[in-house]
Amino acid sequence: MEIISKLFGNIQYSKENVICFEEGLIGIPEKKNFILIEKEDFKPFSYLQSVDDGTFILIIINPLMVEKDYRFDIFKDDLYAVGIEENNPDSFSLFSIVIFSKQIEEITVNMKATILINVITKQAKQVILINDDYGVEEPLIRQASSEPVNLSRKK
Amino acid sequence: MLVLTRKKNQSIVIGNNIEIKILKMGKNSVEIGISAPKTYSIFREEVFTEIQKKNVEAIKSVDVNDITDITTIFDQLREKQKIVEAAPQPTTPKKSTKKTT
Repeated sequence: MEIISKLFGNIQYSKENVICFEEGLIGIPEKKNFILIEKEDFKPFSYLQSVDDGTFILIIINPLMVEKDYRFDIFKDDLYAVGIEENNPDSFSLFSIVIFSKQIEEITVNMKATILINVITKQAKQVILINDDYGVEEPLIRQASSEPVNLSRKK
Repeated sequence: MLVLTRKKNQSIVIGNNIEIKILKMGKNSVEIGISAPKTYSIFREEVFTEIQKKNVEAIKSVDVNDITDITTIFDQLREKQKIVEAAPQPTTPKKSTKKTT
C-alpha cells in the first residue's frame, strides 16, 4: 500500500504495520490509521503519519527521553482497550506528542495525554494519565536546574 | 439541548447501554455515576477540550513543506544539549540515603 506524505514523499507500507486508533486521537476522531516512521537520523523523535491523509503528521517522542523518571498511572480499561494484558508490560510502547516550533525553547511535549501502542496487535489509544504530575505543554528543554533532556541518538 | 430534571438516585439512560445517575447533590456540585461500555472514553469536558486543542496545535506545528525544516532544528537542539552536557556540572553533595526515623 502507498501514501504520499507531505514530509516523507512516497511511502510504501504493509497493512500489518498500520497502527489503529479505534477512537482516533482525543478530539480528532476522523484520523484512525497511522504508520510509525522511525529513522536513525530522526532519533529520539519519531513520526506518526496518517495513512488516510498525507498532510496529517505528528512528531512523537518517548516520554522517558524527556523525563527519565516519567511516571504514568493509567486506567486498566485503557490497557484492555488496546488489548494489553496487565501481566505483559513489554507488549506496549509509549509516546508523547511534540508541539514543534522553530524556536527551540518553545517546543513543548504533551506529557499528560500519552499515546499507548500495543506493539504486537498495533492497537493504539491516546490515554490521559491518572496521576497529576505532568501538563499538556511541558517544555522539551527544561530549566538549567533540572535534569537535561536526553537527546542523543545513541541508546 | 435536552433538559431533564432528576432527583437523587434517579438516572437517565442513553441508547441501550449508557446510564447516568445522580449520586449526590451538594451546594455547588453534583456527583454523577456513569455506566457505559468500556469502549467509550469518558472525559471531564475541560480536560477533553484542553487535549483536543493541543492535538490540533501539534498537527498544525508540523505544517512545514520540508522535513529538513524540522530536522535542522532538532540537530541544533542536540548540539545545544552537547554543550550543556560538556559544561562543568556544579557538584552537589549527594543526599544521604539513610533513613531518618
